[in-house]
Formats: sequence, structure tokens, C-alpha cells
Amino acid sequence: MTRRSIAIIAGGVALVAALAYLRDPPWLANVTSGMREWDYSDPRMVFRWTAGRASLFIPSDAKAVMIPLRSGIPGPLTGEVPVEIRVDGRFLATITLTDPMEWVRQELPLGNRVSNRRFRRIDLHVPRVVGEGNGVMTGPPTVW
Amino acid sequence: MYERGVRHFVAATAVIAVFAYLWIFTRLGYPPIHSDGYSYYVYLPSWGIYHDVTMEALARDWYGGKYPGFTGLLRWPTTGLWVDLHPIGTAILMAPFFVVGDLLSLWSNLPRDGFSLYYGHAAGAAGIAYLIAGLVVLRKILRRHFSDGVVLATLVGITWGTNLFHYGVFDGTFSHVFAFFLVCSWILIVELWWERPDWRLSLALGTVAAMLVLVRHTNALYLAVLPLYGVTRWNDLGARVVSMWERRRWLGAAALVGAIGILPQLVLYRMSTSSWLVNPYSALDIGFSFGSPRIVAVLFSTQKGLWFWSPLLVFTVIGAIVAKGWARGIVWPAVVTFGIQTYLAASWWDWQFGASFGHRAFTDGLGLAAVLLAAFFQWVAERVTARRIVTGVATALVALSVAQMVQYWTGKIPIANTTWQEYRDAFLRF
Repeated sequence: MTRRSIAIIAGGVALVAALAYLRDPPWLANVTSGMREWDYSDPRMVFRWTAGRASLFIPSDAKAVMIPLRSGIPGPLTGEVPVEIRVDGRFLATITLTDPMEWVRQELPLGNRVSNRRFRRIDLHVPRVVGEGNGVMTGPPTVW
Repeated sequence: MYERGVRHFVAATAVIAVFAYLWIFTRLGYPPIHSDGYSYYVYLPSWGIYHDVTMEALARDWYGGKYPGFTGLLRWPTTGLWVDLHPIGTAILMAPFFVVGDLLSLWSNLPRDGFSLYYGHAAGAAGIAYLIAGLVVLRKILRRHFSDGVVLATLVGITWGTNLFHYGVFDGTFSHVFAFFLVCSWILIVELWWERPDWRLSLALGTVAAMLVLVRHTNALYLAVLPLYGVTRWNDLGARVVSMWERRRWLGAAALVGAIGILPQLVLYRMSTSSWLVNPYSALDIGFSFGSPRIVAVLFSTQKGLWFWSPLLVFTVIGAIVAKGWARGIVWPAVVTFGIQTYLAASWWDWQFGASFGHRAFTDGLGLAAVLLAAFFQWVAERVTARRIVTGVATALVALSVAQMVQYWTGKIPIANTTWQEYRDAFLRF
């Protein structure tokens, strides 16, 4: 067997191993997308702004999730800000934020969907942004 | 010893780049796609995920229909359609990495939103990959004409004694390292084409020329390397015109490929603005002030002076004077393109080019500067005393550049408008 063949086989094995690992990595719980840094300026509530889209991960054995939401600034026209929530790409609920100053805490049942992954992905979609692309304020999620 | 150094230099640089990247984006917390990098990159999610060349769908999904100011996208005043301040070339070169990031996102159940974890690092990896590819091409050029010791010193100097490494790793989603790769490729192809033209090389000429323009429109100035290559005297120009006329078939083929290559950008401009040729910055009422260029500031100032922040490049000036042999034929193209680049940068409304380490207007052309640096090192190598002095000075200047790069990364050096007092206060303080 030539050195080239050995290198190709070793590369192939490394690639397969990397892909197997990346399918369900344990650090995914700490991964978010479309989320700003945590803001500690309010002593009553730590929060972070989303962009128009944002995603986070929760354990796959969770039966329900609650993500505190607040619009912070009124939406256009009626002032309401609807937040669409999806789980693993499937529609879960729309929560409408009517009072910009009020934190809305709604428990959302997740059903008993079987998953062989450690985590499920929660996507938030906000149809408006303010400032430099901020959607709504979110607090730390709670799962049951 | 030098031969081994040259052989392993690129691989060693790749390893160092990966470690530096991991440090920057895990410890220092910068996102890979930031600042101008956003507007270079945003074509990919818009085209690849939202299947939309107008950028509207991404704006709706991420920003409620209106891109925020930091994104570098603006609504064209007459059509109301989105126009990106930066052209499509960088995104085209990044595209293979974007595809990998997209497939990995699908595989790991990460959001296929164009900006989640793998997309960002795929774009960052593209910067490193084009840095390495550019160095491979540059090494090939230099090895054809210089000794191993000179090649190694030049590669080290260009990579670490300038802001090249920074633009491959820290600001790897900006256009500069992609343009560096293209300029190096351009020099090599031009050299081979003048040696012995054929269809393959002519098509490569057209392709690289188109990509140069697509990555940064003002980089069209590097096309001047083709007619000026090998010209060392005024009297050569007439003969050069004749030889280009003799190769008009090859040139015509290259021009045709180049024209086809830039067509997508022209069509995009036409769709968005109703004009084929557009300066997107004109919608912001900013542009060039050709009557009052800040040439001294661009070259010498503490803010962004090229030779202040990359003093090793002063050696290229001497290299242009002492160059001999093949390198002599690169002096004219280098001086002409450097002169035009300096005048353009100095005339730009923001002559500092915003946040940057050193002056990034010149990063694209470091492949040409490398030839002059090599010419200088070759000249020095023939003189024992000068060799000792220059080795010490060059090593110190490379170390200084690396130290200041790290200071820039860690916020010890301001991102712009650095004063002499600020520079002195921060000097070698970590």
C-alpha cells in the first residue's frame, strides 16, 4: 500500500468520524443564532435581543418550553409584535406581544416527538426590527 | 535548510492561521462575518437559501424588510431596490465554503439561515484558504526566479511583516485576501502567457481578470500588469504594442471570457438601478476627491500610513531601484499599479478605509510588492555586511508587525484615527 493510499484512507476515516461527531455534538446546547449578547442592565431580568430570526437549542427530552418575550418597542401600526415559534422547523405557536413593557411567559407543550438527537432547535421569527436589527427581547428559556 | 523552509512554509502558515483563528473567535469573541465582511458575504445566503437575487427576501426574514445601516446595503433612490455597496466576486470565491457550511448545518440540525455557526466559520475558513492558496502561487512565482533563501525571507516578510495575515485570519471575510490570491494568480498567468500563449492560458487570463474586477472594481488597475510586464524602458512600449497586436487572437479570447465573466454583475446593477455601470456609493453622496488626495497621510501617517504600519515595505522601494533580471520587468507594472492605487486610496472620502490594521487598500497588491521585496533581498544577499544588517532589521520589523497585529486584535491599538500619542502609549504593551 502506498503512502498516498494510506493518506486517502486515513483522511476518509477522519472525515466520517468528524461527520458522525458533528451530527449531534454535546456543545449544541450553548449554540445560538441571531441572538445578541446577554444584557445585564436590568436588575430584575437578564435578557438578550434577537434579530428578525433567532435560534436556540433545548434538550430533546423536554416536554414543554417557556421563553420570556418582550417587544421593548411597539410594533408598527397596532403596536403589537407577533413572534412565530418553530421546533425543528415545524410550526409550534405564535405569541403576540401587545405591551412593549410586559414580559410574556407562555408555556408551550412540545408533544412527544421521538428524536435520536440530544437537542431540539427552537426558531423565533419576528416580522419587524428596531435599531441595528433588533427583533424582541428574550429571557433565559425554561424547559420541563 | 532554506529549501525545506520554503517547502514547508505554506503548511506551517496554515497551521498558525488555524490556531490564530481559533484564538480570535473563541477567546476574543469576534464573529467571523463582521463589518464589510457582511456585505461581501450576504449574496450567498440571499441567492443560495432565499433563492432571491434582489436581497428582499433576506431583508424581510432577518430585518423586517429593511437592512440596518451596518450591512452596507441601501435602497437605490430611483428604483427602490436593494443595492450592495460591494460587488459579487468575493461571494463567488466563497461559494464552495458556503455550500459546505449549508450541508453541515443540515446535518447538525443547525438553522439553515445563512448566518448560524457553520456558515460563519465556513466564510472564515474561506479567508484562510485563499491566504494559503495565494501564498502557494506566490511561492511558485518566486521560486522560478530567486534562491530558496530569498524566497523564504520574502514569504515570511510578506505574510508577517505586512497586514496580509491579518486579512486572511481576522478580517478574512473582507475582499483583500481574495484579491491577494487573484493578483498572485494574475502575475503567474501573465508570465506564462508572455512566455508561450495558448488557449488555456488565454481563458485563464480572462477568468482571473474578470474575478479581479468582480472582487473589487478598482482592482481593474492590476490589468495594467499584462501590457507592462517585462517593460523596462520607454522605448519598450512601442515593441510591446506590436507584440500585443501579434497576439490579438489570444487577447480577444481573454477579453471575451473577461466580458462574459463580469456580465452577472452588470445584469445585477441593471436590475437594481436601471443602469449597467453604477457606483453604489454615489447613493450615499460619497466618493473620490481627486483634487485633494491625502497621499502623505496614506503612506506615512500614524492613522493608516502604509509604511508606518508595514515599515518592511520600505525595502520594496529599494527593491524597485536595485532589481535586475526578471524582477526588473516587474518594476514598471508594480510602480504604475502602486501609484494608481495610492492616488485612488488617497482620494477616497475615507482615505483610512475605516477600521483596519495598517492600510488595507494595498493588501490586494502584495503579490507585486513581494517581487520587489525579493529583488531587494537578492541584492542584499550578495553583500555580506548588508546581509547581516538587513537580516536583523527585517526580523525586528516582522516581529513589530506581528506584535502590533496582536495588539490590534486585543483592542490595544485603535481601529482607526490612531494619533502619535496613542501609538506611543500603546507601543509594545499587551
